[in-house]
Amino acid sequence: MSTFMSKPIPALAGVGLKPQHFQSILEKKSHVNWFEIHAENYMSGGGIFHHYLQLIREQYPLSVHGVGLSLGSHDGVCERQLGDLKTLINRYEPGLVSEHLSWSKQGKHHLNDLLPMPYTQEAIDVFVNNISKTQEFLNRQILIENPSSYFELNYNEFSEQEFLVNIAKKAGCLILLDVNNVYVSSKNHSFDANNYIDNIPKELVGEIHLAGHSVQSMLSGEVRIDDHGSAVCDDVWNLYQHTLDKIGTRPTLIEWDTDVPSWDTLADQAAIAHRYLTNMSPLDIKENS
Amino acid sequence: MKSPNIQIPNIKEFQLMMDENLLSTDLAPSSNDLMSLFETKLSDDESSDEGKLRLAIYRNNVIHSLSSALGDLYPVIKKLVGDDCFNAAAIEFVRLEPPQHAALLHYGKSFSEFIIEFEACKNLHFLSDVAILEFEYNQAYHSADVQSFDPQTLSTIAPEQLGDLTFSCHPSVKLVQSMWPIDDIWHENQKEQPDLINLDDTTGVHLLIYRLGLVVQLVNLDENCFILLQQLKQGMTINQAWAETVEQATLAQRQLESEELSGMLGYLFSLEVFTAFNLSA
Repeated sequence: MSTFMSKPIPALAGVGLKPQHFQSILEKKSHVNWFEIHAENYMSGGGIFHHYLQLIREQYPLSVHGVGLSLGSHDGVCERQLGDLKTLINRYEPGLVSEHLSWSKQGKHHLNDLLPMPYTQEAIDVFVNNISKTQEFLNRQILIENPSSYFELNYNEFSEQEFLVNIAKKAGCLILLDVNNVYVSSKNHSFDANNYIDNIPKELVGEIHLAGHSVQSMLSGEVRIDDHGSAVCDDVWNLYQHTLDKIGTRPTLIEWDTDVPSWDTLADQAAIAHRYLTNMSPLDIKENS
Repeated sequence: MKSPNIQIPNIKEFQLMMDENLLSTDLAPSSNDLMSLFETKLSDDESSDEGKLRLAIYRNNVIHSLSSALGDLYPVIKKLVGDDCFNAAAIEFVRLEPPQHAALLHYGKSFSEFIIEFEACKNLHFLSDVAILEFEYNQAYHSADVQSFDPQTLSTIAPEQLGDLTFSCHPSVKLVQSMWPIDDIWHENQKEQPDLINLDDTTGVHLLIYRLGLVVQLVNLDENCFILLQQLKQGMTINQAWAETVEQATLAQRQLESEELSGMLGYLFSLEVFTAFNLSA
């Protein structure tokens, strides 16, 4: 059983928790107001990961972000995975629990990637069914994150934003709006990122993600890869500002999962998000820290 | 825009086609059907190349993320065989045995069996046992936190009943026997510049792997003590476990005096491998 009371996540900046930063987080003050974990990394009984997570959870609100539930799987979600997720949630009482608008499981094996779905009525039904079962089992509302994608299907019946909003309304879940993913997909599939954001009802958005991505050349053009391995780029910060203008402030997470930087570099990214959220100049941030 | 000649798959068919093309060494026969479903603004010739490149991003992501996860779970094996050899082995393993659970902390148990069959590693006979050690080390690292028991509490037990005691082991406790000095190999390879170990001059080990507090311990036990703990771990009473230990020592013509039992138990208590004792009626 948990020793924690569920703490709501404030509409301030948080970062993805990395083991490399455990010690610094406990020792240094920063503009990081909350943490998010990948659920699967903590699906174990104990040890050093849980030791530090416990200490950090005592001081900060926590969000649990699943990457392996495979809500888009035609054959449903894995019950063992759901059980492990519930155990983790009961242990840490997170303020938010989220997953993805994607699939990663085929039969019994897991592909460890956020794979794209066709945007069809059949796919809406699959997601609504799996999300409803998940929310019922966990006895709480979850958030669903829009993916980055590298191809679109030519038989899509909906745009991604229509598809996402439709599912959220039918399943009664919220949206985790990943602004970097909107940007990456808008470049990869030539759609208007601002228009995407404008078509998401603000009351459905419960959290925002920001991250860095990379650019690879492809034939005569380029493709953007959502690798979470660098700082947030200027275009994504601008799209974030547009998002805040449209929907208001929301808990905002900086994700940096590959080539993990020093704690100070990551905390600096959170400080920039903090500035956007609180409308402070960089000078104010320095004076306050 | 839909191509007029292509049958639109349902979700199940789409996911099966993707799966086939993500784990396979080469693109599967279904790849052309799959790629014909990708939206494109290019001409037919160019769009075929574009489709392959777009699919390749997912193929690379899947194989790269799983083989790197395996590399994180087996850092010593990776160091021993080198990055190139390890990556080749890991990719082949991932294709043969993709994870059965999304939590990769527990992935790759059978890598120890796979690696001895992998062509480039066939003459490295010790690799398999080092892989077993790495897997169990990692399991111990993440296993549940349980307090060890205080041996002082045994003073409440009447002396004539001590032999009927059973013990619960810490959930991290694993016993691994090897004809190779896998603990030395493991320790040496934690260093930036490992020293060479001459395997001709070494003896085997009877390793106890468990976690004390937050730190995983590797203890090379005396063979008799290893057998005693093995029996106690299975739930035998002290008397039963000792009888079995004596029998095995006799069969192997190993020296073992009856007075050694209390010393061995005292040593195991000092390692804090037990979490509780039980006196069955």
